[in-house]
Amino acid sequence: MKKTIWMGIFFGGLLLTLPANAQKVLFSFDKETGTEPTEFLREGRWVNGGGDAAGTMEIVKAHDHANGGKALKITRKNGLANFSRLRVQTKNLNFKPGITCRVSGWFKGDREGLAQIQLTSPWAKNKKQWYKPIDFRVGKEWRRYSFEFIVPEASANSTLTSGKLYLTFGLFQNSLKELYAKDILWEVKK
Amino acid sequence: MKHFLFSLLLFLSVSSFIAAANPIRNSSFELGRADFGISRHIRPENRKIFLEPVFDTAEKVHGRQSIRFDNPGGDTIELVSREYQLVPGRTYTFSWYMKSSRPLNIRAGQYCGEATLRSKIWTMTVSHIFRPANEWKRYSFTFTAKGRNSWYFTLFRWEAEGKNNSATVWLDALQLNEGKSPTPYSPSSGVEAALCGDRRVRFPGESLPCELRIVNHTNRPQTVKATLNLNDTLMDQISFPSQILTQTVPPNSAIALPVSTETKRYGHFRLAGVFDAAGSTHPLGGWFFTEIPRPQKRDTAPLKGFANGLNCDLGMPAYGIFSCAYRAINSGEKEYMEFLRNSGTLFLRLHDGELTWKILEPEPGKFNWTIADEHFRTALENGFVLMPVLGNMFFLRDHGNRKRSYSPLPDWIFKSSATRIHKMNGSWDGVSPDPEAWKRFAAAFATRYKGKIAAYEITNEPNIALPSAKEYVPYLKSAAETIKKHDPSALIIGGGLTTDYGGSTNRFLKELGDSGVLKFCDALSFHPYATPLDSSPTPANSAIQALRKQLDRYAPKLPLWNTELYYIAPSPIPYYAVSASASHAHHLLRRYLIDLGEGVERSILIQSSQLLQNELAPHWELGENYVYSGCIPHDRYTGQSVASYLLNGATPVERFQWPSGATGYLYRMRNGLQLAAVWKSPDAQQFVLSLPEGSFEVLDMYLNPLKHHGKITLSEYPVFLRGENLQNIMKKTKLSGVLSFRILSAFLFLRNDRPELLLEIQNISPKKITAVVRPDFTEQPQTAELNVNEKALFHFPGAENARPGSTKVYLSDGERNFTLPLPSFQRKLLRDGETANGNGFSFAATSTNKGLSLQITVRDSERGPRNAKAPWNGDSIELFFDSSPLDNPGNIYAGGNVKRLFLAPASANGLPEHKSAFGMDAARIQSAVTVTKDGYRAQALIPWNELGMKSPGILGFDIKVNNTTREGRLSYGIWSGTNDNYRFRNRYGLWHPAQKTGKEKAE
Repeated sequence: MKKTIWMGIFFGGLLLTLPANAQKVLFSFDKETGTEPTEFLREGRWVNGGGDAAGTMEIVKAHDHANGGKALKITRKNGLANFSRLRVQTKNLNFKPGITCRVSGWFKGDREGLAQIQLTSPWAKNKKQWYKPIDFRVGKEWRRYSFEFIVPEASANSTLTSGKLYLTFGLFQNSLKELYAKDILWEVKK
Repeated sequence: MKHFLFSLLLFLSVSSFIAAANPIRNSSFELGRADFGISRHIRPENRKIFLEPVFDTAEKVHGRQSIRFDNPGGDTIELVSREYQLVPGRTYTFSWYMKSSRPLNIRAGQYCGEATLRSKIWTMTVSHIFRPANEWKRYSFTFTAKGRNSWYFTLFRWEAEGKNNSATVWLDALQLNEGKSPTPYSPSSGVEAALCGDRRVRFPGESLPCELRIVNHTNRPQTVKATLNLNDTLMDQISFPSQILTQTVPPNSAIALPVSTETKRYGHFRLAGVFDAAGSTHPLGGWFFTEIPRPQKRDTAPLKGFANGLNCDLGMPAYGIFSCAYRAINSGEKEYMEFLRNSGTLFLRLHDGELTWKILEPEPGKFNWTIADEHFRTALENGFVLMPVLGNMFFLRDHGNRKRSYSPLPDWIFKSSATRIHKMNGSWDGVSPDPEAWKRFAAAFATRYKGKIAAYEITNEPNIALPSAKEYVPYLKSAAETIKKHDPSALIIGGGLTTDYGGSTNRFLKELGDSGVLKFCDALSFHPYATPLDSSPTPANSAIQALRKQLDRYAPKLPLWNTELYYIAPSPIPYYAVSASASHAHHLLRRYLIDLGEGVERSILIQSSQLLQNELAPHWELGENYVYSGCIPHDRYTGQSVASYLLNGATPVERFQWPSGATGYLYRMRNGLQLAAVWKSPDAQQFVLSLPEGSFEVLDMYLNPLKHHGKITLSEYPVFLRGENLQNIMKKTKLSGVLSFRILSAFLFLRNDRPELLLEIQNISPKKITAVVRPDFTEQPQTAELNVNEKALFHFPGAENARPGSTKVYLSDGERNFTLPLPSFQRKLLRDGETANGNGFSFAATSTNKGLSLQITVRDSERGPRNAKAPWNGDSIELFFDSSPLDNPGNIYAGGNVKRLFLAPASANGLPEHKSAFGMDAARIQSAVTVTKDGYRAQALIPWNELGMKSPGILGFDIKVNNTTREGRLSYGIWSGTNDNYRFRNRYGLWHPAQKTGKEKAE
């Protein structure tokens, strides 16, 4: 538990904060030059639960997408023992509570299977953490998915009072071995 | 016991030998006329009654009876067997016993045709005339079987030639055995069986009797086990439990067992199976029948709304054994009329029979109405609405070896100085008959049949019979005025525009419109031979819309009538037999649904014989005039019945705007209910139509209730929705396709000597999309906005590694990504000076300062005959040139940019070397054709400006080599395109000049 908290603090320190008035953020991997994405991190559970032995996160060519370019690929290896999903997450973005967000992006799997996308406000001591997961099925062919998240107004004891959110997505270990993602767009609707 | 076993073994060996030795089933007629068809060509003065043969137990050679043909009316009789196969190259002897009450000539023959996927042709006919004695005698002849996939049948024909010979004839013990002499007669097996029953059309709730007749030819009792399966002929999933019938048949006797035909559903069904007897298994059937809805009440007043129809000569498929004969096959006129009437068909177009001007006015001013009176009376008594084609067709055509010797026009008309003959290319000349005689004929016809004729179509297909509409307009106008004067209620149908024989309608219709003659017409008729279906290269609905648009310029409200519908097969092939056998109920229904949906008021199938199932010779379905099986419904009959029931009197309401490949229309039926029909073409992607909740029926093609669970997966078989408020319901349906794209074509061309891939992509999703396309050999996608059904060309340089099949093409519509294999290249590629090969020829095309130089070598050492005016009907080379192959590639038609050149060597029928051109001045083309040891060689130099080019540039190019044998049989080889090159330019190859051209720089 201590280790998890420590890692959370470590990553929290790395997170960059995006402008509060950002209406549209595109996470494109096309410009990535390294083997790992610069705007996504492995969840703390993943890092603590085995790192590369549990699974890998890498930038690959989206050779079978009409747009070409690059994609983020999550690969399950040994998997996590105490958590059902291998997920990656963005840095925190500033936001105003009470908004509706739309997140869309291209996804595919190595087979038909279940993936998950989630908006989360960062954990804070003595606050009730807000998060909203959505499960979705992917296939072997790329498909663009679109998800709507209604972020409630922040009550006093909610983590939403921090005015920050981050985006998480990943695969269910018992369903998929690989998940690919490309051109993820996070928009504020109102 | 030992004796029994020995006998059994002996019988088994004999039985199997017999089966191999005599392929003619029921050859001693112990099962009645099962496995045989009988035609009676009845002379015009006789009643059209089919006189059944008699099975004569007093006169016989084998078994209990022979077949006896009494013939008091002196009919010309034909007896045709079920088809069978023989081993090519082996020698057979055909033998039979025969006797006659009076001297008579009878032709006996073995007829054989070669059935392949693309064609059916006569391989051999061996027949001889015999003169039977007045006592039993065995006759025979010997022949060698030919062909590789040949189907034979036996034919006997009374050679009466229309003369009254009332001789009675007996036949018995027909046999085919291997060898040069007849062996002792044996039937096809020790036990023979057949399914029997004459009635083949059933309405709901009625019975349809069928029995299994079995004859035991042996001296021992035989236990027979028959296993029968009943299936719908088109819908594989519709089948019924097998029937197993077991019975012991006493020696030398015959029995009959009832067979169930119960289906409790509409459809077209085939009953077939096997029977086991004495250790051998033998085929049974197929025996076809249909269950159809009971037809609507017939309204014989001029119709409102749509009506389907038939081209009909009011006789069973007539064939000119002798003039004005009525051909009855296994049944008479009464039964045939009932068969047609039960299909619900209302409209009869009378074109192919004996109602020619030649027959009706054999001498100037002297009319013979005998045949017409009888035909019209019969048709009207049976509730049909009539449309004769006045004048039949204004042509004079080749007939056998006698050139320009046949015309439906009277012989005397050609002696009139007022008759003009127009020299036409091809196999006929056009005729402008004496105008006064024409007017007299029209007046006499309309006066005699006042009130009995619903419509007159004024001649058939003048746009191919005559040089232009100018030669047609005066005859249409005078016929219209004359008929309206004598029979004001009769409708005048003008046009008869055909796209058969490469016929073009645009110019002819423009000339008709400009002349003002359309104001004399009540409808314009057309024959959509080139555009039969939604899946045709030019879809039927687009063709109708284009015709309607053109007609609207001159006569906006003039109805359209489709008066000849033949090539309703998915892929028209210019062989009637094949296209006919490839077409089925769903093709016919789709065409009717399209016609009605596009506002066409009449849709008339040619010809009534297309409704007949050739049960005895399925490989010869409609293939020849000999082999018909009688009033046995084809699945097209079932389709015709459904169309009549649903669509007659209906009106169009809406065409659904769906992606290419999916078709849907909404109609209002004459009972006020709305009807929607939905389907897809076979080459289209999978579509699913989601249905909302509501009060409506969902029916399959034959009107059976269809289980759907709120979704219909479209197929090439139309599905019907029927209800009161369908228009609103259809608005709530949702059509979804698995794919959003279709790759229409793919080919390479060279830019700066490097291959570039061109992909023509169509949006087949139900909405506008942003298409992103990228083949796997490039990193650079191409993007285009595409509306529904819109097409666009995408260029991809660097296509050295593009390989059809293995190269992948990735496409995105913004929501979904698709991976499709690169299809075969539609065009071949040829570089300047490079030698290419085709089937039986090679060639090179080289650019020179003076023009395009062609060197063609043809490997064909046998010269055949050639038609002087149609070089493509002989040994010849056809060259196709398209000066702008990459401009507007969506326009696939061979229009003004396409030029053609014909080169031919001297022919076997004495014609000299030939050169002619379309779109070019042949005199400016240097050419020579030299005969070589193993073929011939052609050279040509075509100036660039004759090709429509200022200098060498990318050229659409193709070459077709026609090859005839001495017997005149024609085959061909094509380098890049298809036999439709003369109509479509999109499959020509691409020839590239060596030097970089101005055109390429501009690109």
